[in-house]
Amino acid sequence: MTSKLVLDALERTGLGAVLARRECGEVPDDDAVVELLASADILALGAAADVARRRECSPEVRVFAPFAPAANAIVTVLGAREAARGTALLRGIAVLRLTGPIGQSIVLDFDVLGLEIAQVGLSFGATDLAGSIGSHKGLPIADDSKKVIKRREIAGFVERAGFRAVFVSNETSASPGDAPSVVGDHAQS
Amino acid sequence: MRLLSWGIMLSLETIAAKIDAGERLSFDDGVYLFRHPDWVAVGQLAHRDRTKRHADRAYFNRNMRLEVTNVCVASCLFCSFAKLKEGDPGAHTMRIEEAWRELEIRLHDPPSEIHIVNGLHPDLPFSYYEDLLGGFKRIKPDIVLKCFTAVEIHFFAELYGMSHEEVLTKLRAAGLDSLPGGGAEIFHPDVRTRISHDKATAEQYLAVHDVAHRLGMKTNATMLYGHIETFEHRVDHVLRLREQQDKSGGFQAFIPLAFHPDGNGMQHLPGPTGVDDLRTIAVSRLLLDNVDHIKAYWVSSTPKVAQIALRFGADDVDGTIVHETIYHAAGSQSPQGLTRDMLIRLIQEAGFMPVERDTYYGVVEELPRAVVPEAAVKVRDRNARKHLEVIS
Repeated sequence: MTSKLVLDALERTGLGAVLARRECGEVPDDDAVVELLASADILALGAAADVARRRECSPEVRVFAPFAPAANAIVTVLGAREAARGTALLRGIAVLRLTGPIGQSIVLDFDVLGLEIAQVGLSFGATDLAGSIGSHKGLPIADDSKKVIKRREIAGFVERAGFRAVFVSNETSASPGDAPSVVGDHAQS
Repeated sequence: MRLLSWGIMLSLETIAAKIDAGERLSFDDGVYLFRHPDWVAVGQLAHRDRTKRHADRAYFNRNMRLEVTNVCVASCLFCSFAKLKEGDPGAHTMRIEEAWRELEIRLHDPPSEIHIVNGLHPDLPFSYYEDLLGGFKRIKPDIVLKCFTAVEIHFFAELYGMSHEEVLTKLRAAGLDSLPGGGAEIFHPDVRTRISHDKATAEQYLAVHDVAHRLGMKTNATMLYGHIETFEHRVDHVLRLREQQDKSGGFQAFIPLAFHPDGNGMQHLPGPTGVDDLRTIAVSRLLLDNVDHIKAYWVSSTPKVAQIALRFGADDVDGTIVHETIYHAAGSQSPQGLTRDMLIRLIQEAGFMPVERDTYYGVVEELPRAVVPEAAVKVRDRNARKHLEVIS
């Protein structure tokens, strides 16, 4: 849900025009747009990215476990080098959302980024999460009861960000990035 | 928009208008802000307020945490730090010389403040605490001693048969300068009696701060959130602090503390999320119109969330800390200390001007803002943007 307060702010900052171009099916990544996004207030930018994400993508957040899907033209996986700082990562996610392909999947690796930051990223344009389901400290473990707790915990994080989690298992895949299978939403897990 | 029972329409716009008109937010406003689905918009309101107060300044200090004893007679459900008595596995009480040594070994790059929080030890003499403070002042006369929570002060009063004022007066004579905010937990009795029934009540906690403020001391206040409390309990807590501040005026900073569940009596609970951390900071900023500073304590929320919190109403990330043990006993994955340079970088990359402060928010040094904050350079670079190589 985007409040009128935010929509007004988007118009004031010029980000509303970027959203309007995306709504027409255009991918706005010209220099003027990039300059605008590079200097925009991070919360206004996040709000714009959130509007785009809600318009273009499913309200469900896929949680890939234990591997992230393979990156391609419409799937971007963020982890590792992006872990540097909180606000830089959020700006990066939002810029990817606003200048990338319509409906692209932006996957956040919560093993690397941390679940807290990954959760926040869902409100800045990211669509999906990936990582291992394990103990509270993020260490993969075999204990099924702990696995359920962790899955519920992740589902709770997603829900409290305003989305619904759908878990996608690729545990039996030969390698990270192989085709995953949907195993159910959090209510069934 | 929400229709309250007496027919008043609530919306972010009406709340923004109240803030602009200088009106105080109500209990219902606070609960509405906690429940509003557009939590980033709540953050925007808080950031607007924070910017009016502090422009683009973000504060930190060079402090040192010390817990001289973890022996504690209280049985708080959320605590992973305390041991019931001496001799229990993991119980420790520093010899005074050991505590002093922690400062002596850091004199080449000394902290400006020592922050001490302890368990409620039933057997130490009062002179232990007086000697502890006096020794630190002898080693470094200008060190600021921010020691003992209001819960500890109340415990001392009961244990040693003194009033709050007598305890504070004697400790001040020994070198105490300020009180930390710990021990507040959640004030509402429905929660407090369940999670920490055998230590100072909310009224006693506030009474200690009241006395401290009347004696001219500056103090902080906290709130432990993300366990069994509701949003209503959080708002009630913050409004009680606001009321106390109206009376005594000595709170410098409010510090929301995220509950960590590992190794304590509430480990079945998940703990708060990143969104919850940021929303709590934001709502606190908006409700606490009479407290200057909202602190994002990086140990409890992680440095990354603390950095983002600077855009959600916080203006302070606490300090270097050096060696924190209470949160780490509860599973905190944050480092036990950050260097001054790390804190400066954390603030600069968020687009703020780092200001090293003393305990009383006096400016020690103003540092430059980053020329280009965050990942702006890489965002402008299309090739790098594809790979999102942020500044590291």
